[in-house]
Amino acid sequence: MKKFIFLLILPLFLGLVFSGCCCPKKRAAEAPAEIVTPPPEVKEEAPPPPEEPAVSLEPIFFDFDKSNITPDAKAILDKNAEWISKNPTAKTRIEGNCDERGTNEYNMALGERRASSAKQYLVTLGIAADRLSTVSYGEEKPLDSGHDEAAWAKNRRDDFKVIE
Amino acid sequence: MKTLFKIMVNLFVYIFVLAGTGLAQDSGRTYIPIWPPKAVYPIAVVEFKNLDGKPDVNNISKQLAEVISNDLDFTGLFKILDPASFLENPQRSGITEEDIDFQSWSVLGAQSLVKGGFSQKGNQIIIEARLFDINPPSFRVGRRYIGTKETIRKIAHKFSNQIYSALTGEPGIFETQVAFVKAESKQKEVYTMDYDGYNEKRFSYHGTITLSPRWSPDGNWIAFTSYKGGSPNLIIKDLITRKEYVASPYRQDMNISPDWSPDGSEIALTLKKDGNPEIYVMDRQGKAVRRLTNDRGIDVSPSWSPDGQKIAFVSNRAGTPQIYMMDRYGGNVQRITFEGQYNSEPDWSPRGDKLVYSSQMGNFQICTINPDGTGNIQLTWEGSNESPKWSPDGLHIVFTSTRVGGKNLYAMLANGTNVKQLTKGGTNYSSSWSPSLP
Repeated sequence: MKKFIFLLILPLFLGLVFSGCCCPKKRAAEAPAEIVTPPPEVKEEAPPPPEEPAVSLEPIFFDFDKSNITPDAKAILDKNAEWISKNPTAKTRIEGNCDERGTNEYNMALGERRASSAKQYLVTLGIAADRLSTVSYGEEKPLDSGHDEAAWAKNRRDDFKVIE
Repeated sequence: MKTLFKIMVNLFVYIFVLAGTGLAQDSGRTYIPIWPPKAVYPIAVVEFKNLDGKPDVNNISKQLAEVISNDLDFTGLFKILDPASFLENPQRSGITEEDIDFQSWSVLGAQSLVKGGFSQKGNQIIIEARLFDINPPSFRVGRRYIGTKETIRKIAHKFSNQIYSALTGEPGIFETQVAFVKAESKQKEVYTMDYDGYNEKRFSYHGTITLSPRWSPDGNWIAFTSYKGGSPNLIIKDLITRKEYVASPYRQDMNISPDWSPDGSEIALTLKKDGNPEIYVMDRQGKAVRRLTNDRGIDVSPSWSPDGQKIAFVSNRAGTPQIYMMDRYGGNVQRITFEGQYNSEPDWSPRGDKLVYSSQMGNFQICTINPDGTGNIQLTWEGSNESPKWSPDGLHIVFTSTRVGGKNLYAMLANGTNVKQLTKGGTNYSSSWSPSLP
């Protein structure tokens, strides 16, 4: 009985599915010529690269995929805080950086966390938050272009640039 | 009755799934199944005939055949017959159904044949291209193109798309492009190139670091991150007029890792305006910002599902970077990667069934995984491989690899086979595949 129903239904389905697509198409005559042109050229120029600030304080370094301040880094931040306190008109930009391992976008976010960690610590030492700005360059600005742990260790860092 | 139901389900699966994978028929012909790719369909691509005998200083004859062969080879579906084995002189033999000696192609085992001719009128090149079946001999597709020496490759790609859709029933990707970042000294600018690595063109002129180019779904715009102005901003630039605008909601702050919604009306991205890197969605003017994630860790690299309902992203909320999923309003967060200490940069297949991502296994390798977290598969093994992005047909993946030194872009089939190097030399990375361009 079941087989019988199946046999009844089968041609019905096949008919439904293939009716729309299996009639032989009329052979199409060749289409009219398509004119293919290159995209228009637009002249553009890049501005000169931004100037690097002259004064830099000592950088601090991080472990892989970490943004917490190590004891070594704390000692350096204490010294940097001293300089910043003695130069009350100076503004400092903290630049977070990563090594080349890991993905560019995640490292952009990780570099931001590294810069923010240093900023928070400096604020706890009494530096006004509005004298400190942060930016992350992710893995885009390595100090050392090597591909080993020695190079990576140098690249996982915060730079401190005096911008005013 | 249960059995009957089963039979009906099977019948439906047979009809709709198999039809979808390429066994459907058109004009009584069977299409080549596109997945899984097997390079078995024998096709002959013949150098084009110089119809008016004027000197072929631009090597049009060979160039057209080479580009078409290369396009077909890229799909992993064809066995391209060696031109050295051809029995006829392409400059003397006919290019119409009436004039072709189909027997001589049948002997070589060819199933299909690509032939054509060209003539030159001043700077104009007029190209006729045709696809024939060998058994039984019949004309399948023919096109006429008028171009210049600058558009020879483009014309070849156009006809490859005709061949591919005639033989598979699916649209080809041979006119698509790839955007990427090229590093030169300390500057990193966005470039575009054809999907096969040719026709490289500079796209951004910012004189600084740019990153994360992403094509809009209509193919008219590229969004990217730029440090012009000091901090990472979101720029949206028109591909034709080359006009651009800053779409960042917070210009002095971090605006990174953009991803267009499938309808192109919204952009998901990472901002840190609320203290740490979180994912937000906004319109393409940088307005109507709404927050999606809320935790103490990093949340970055959003990727929309093709139906626009879900967003995959990376978070280190559980200690290491892992891939998570949420709905488009930030609810129903689920972690989907559990193997390994570092899984990142997900990209959702346009077919919806897979995500591609990179995973640290010593070096980084490209993997795919189902949206429910099952079935992860490693696709690369050599060098360090990052930044995977799908082709618009969901059959290919473009990625960055260090396998032969430097950092270059490669493409492979979605099962990891048929790897092609796209950029050669220099430092090239952070790629994004265009949608199917008109």
